[in-house]
Amino acid sequence: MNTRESTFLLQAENLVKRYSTTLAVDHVSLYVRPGECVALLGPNGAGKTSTCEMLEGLLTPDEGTISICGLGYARNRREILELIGVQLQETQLYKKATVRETLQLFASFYRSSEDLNGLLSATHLNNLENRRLEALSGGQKQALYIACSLINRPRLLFLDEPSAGLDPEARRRIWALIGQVKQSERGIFLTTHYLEEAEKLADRVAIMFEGRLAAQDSPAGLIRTYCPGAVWGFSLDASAETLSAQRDYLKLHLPWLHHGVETQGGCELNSLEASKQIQELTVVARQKSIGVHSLYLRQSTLEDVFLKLTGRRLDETHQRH
Amino acid sequence: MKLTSVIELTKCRWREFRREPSAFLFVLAMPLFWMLILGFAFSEDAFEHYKIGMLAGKTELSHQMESLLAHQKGLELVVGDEESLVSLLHRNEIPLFLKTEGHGLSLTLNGTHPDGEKARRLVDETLQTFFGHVETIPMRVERLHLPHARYIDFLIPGLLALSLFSTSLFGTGMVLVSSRRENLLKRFAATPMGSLDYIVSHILGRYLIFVLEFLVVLLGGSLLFSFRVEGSFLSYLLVSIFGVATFTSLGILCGSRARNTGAYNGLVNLLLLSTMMLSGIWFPRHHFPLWMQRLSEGLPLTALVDALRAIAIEGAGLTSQIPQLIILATYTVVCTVSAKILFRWY
Repeated sequence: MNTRESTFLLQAENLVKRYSTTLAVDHVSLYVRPGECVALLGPNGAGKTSTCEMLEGLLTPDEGTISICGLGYARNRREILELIGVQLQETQLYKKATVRETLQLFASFYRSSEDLNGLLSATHLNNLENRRLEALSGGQKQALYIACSLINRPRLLFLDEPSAGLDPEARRRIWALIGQVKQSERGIFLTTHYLEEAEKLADRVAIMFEGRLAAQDSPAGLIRTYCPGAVWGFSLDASAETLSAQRDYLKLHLPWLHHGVETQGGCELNSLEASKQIQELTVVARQKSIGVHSLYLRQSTLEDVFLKLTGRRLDETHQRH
Repeated sequence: MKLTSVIELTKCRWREFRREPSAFLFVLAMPLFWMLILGFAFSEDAFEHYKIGMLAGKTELSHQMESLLAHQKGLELVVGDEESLVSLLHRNEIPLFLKTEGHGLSLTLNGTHPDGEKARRLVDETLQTFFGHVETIPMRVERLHLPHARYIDFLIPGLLALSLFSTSLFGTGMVLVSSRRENLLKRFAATPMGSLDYIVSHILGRYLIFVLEFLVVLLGGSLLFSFRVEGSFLSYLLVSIFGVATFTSLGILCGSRARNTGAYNGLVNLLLLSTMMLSGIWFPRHHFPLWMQRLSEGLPLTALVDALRAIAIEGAGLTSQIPQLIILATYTVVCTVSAKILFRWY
């Protein structure tokens, strides 16, 4: 193979994509190293699919450059397509074909292909090889689509929302499968709107919101940078009428409460001094006979990072769409 | 082009057709359905009963013949002048007419009328019974080859053309639209498979289905209605293959951009219904007003139907159908080039 060796399997600089007046992708830069799984995390409509399709060569960026294993789409499109594997969202393959026939079809497109029996058992499809696609469940279909994307032993694998629309059990199976296909030399680029998926699979997470990358780091790094310490919260033993008065009183005596977020019955905070703050809250509440109904303390998650960076919860942004 | 890709893609196309009972039945059963409904609806009554002509004459022989044939069971005699009889013969309303010539008879027979031979045999038998086997009356036979009389013979080449037309638009074109809608084309675009391989597989798949369609219409017609191709069978087949090329490129053109299957269906139905009427699939075009006839002459379906009918009914040779083949070839080229320009994968 005449591909120039590169430290990056994927390197994209300042990608821009406009649809008439809206800026779908706004100067996004991404990279994937061998053996690395990178997740592009964001709500629906954040520009993830547009970004992914530019990287797969299906959409031409308005600005910016893309290099895959040192090659560019303009001159080496066919060569790149031999090197990558792609799973798209909402694809319907031939309904009347069987699992094996579908894999044979995809195998015929490439110069070299994976051993079918090995691939069938690796993707747990060996008992279904003679079943038609129309008779497969959502999870089985998704496993087949991933198998199709692996047929050419790709060096870089693109998975666009690999577990969208699946039930929790099927989703866990797909995650286990993706975990298996991670190899030392293979890079994986996936998009997702599930925090858990990004946390479980990704070595590095890029958070995308309204066309821009808000941050890019390992899950632990993101938490360390944006939400160090712990998250804790409380709810008050108060009626709807007295709640805001009590909350205002507490804020007056506990200035750090201003950094928190109001929840239904109380407040939530991300803080390095959780235990000290909890003690102070208990003291002030007792003085004024304010009843604290419940109290919790937990580690920060990517969800907290997302909230901090975008001002919204990921599931809230989904309800809007 | 990569042969294995083309073969695998063609296999997939074939499976989608073969394993979809409704598509399979639709393509195969529709022409037979129309053939049965219309064939029987418009067929002459099934009893052995022939209408024949007799030239009015003043001789004793002609009077004798008139009364003899008029009373023969199974024959209906029309007596008239030569001009009206010839016209009846050309309009296929009678298979033959008789006239007296001195002491003999002359029989003018339309050799391509399906009842021609049977009616002639009945006339022979009637005369032989009357005159006796030995001293039978001398008869001169003039055999004409006029177009088929039966509606079914007119209908069957039309049904073949219509079937080739609708399967291309609803099959090939529709598959492209739904594959685009379901992101299958986009998925293929993300593989090294070339676009030519994909299009060639559609054309090959279309010809596989064509073999079935052709056989069904031909065998159905010949077994149910003793349809036969008067001209060369090879010409009939070649013209059909030509037609499939035209309609496949038209189907690909129609499906070159659309994503919405509902809208595509509407468009194609409109195209299909109007073309079907204009091209005279069901009824001869000479019933239409002149402007409509002119309009329909430029349509590919008309060209195909006319060529198939000329070969099947009149026994025309392939060279006489060159104008029709030129129309078909022109459409093929125009549609292919336009499809190439307009085509989008996703």
